[in-house]
Amino acid sequence: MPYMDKRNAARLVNDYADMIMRIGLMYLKQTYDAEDICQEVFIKLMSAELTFEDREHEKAWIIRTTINTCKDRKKLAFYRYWSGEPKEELVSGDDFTGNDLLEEIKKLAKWQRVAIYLYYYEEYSTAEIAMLTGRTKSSVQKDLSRGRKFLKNILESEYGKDYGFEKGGADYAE
Amino acid sequence: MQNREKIKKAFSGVHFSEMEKSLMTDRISEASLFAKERTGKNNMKMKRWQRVAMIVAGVLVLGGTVGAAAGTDMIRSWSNSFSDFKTAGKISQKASELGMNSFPDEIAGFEYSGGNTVHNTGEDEAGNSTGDWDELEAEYKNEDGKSIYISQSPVVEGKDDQQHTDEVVIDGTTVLYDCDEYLFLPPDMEGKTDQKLLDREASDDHFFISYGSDEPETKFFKNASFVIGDIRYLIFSYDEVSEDELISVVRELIQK
Repeated sequence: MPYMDKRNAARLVNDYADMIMRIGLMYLKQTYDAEDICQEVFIKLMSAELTFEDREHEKAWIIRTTINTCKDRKKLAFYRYWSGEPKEELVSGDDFTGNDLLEEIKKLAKWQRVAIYLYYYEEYSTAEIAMLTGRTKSSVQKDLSRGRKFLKNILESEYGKDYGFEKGGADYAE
Repeated sequence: MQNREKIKKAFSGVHFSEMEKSLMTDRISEASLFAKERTGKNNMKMKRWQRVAMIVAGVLVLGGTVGAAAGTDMIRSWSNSFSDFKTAGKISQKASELGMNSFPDEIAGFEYSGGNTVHNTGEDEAGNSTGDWDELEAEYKNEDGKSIYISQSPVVEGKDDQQHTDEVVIDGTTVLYDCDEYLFLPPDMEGKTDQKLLDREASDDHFFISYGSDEPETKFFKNASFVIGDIRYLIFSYDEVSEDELISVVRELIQK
């Protein structure tokens, strides 16, 4: 039986649609095709015979599939690269500072963006991110380090605030 | 506020609305249960229509096929919304590999525009697989911008008990023509639809109601199907293409 059907569609959409869109945003730098990416991932869930050990396993599969789907999308020669503002209806604008920070994150390199999201938002370790993205742990550490450095410089120069990116600080990754 | 919290807060602002999630769930649920809920009549064509409609929207979509393996209660179909085959030569090469016939560059004033492999999986009532098969589907456009689609799939067992709109014989090949009317309604209309419309859907082989559109909308899906050897052809359009235009394409295909 396919893993996703009417019985668990609502749970899977509620649990993962936003995450898929955020990863899509980090990978593709836009949310314009976010629903497409979501639908592609959910169709893969509907069409494949899958068995997951637990919810973590399920989540990891969805993250990997989302990244692979984004890769496929990027490969398409006629992929419509659009780096403008995300669609208004997809992004709540109730936190101006938060959206500013997101814009800064979007200036990072692709894998840095993905690593920042998975590390800070999803709270995966660098080793787990390496497994999810198919990169080495040292590459992920470099991505995080460079991403933090960029954000620190930007945020400090723009807002004159210390955002706690110092080595040994509360948010510093191994 | 720590760095992690600030970043979390920034990402939290990116999300689907509850309505979008609800619509997404509805579409997925409808797709996964589609054939079970619409057994009999031309449920396959309904699915076909959905796929075509969604390809226009540029998304990966679910759809159907024209035949079902014996015991098949539900068919899951999927394809990439982007063209797998940019030229008629490429899709014809794939057709040859699958034991199908070639696709023309041009036919009855319509030129090849792109094509895909459509993957199908049949399931019986218990959810057991009744087989997998691929079909090939190509889009052709004429100078007015109208599109028709030509699909080739293996002939598999399935009962066809519907009343067709028309039936013509071309060079000994029987061609079944159908013109189906689809009434698309907003999802909140489900359960509140006029009983007359529901009665009509129950009695009319060529009238269907589908929920999920933004506004009520009526569209017509025209298709012609025939079998050559062990390949089933389906030629269809959702544009203002007349029966004559569709049959002209069929005639050329058969006579080629």
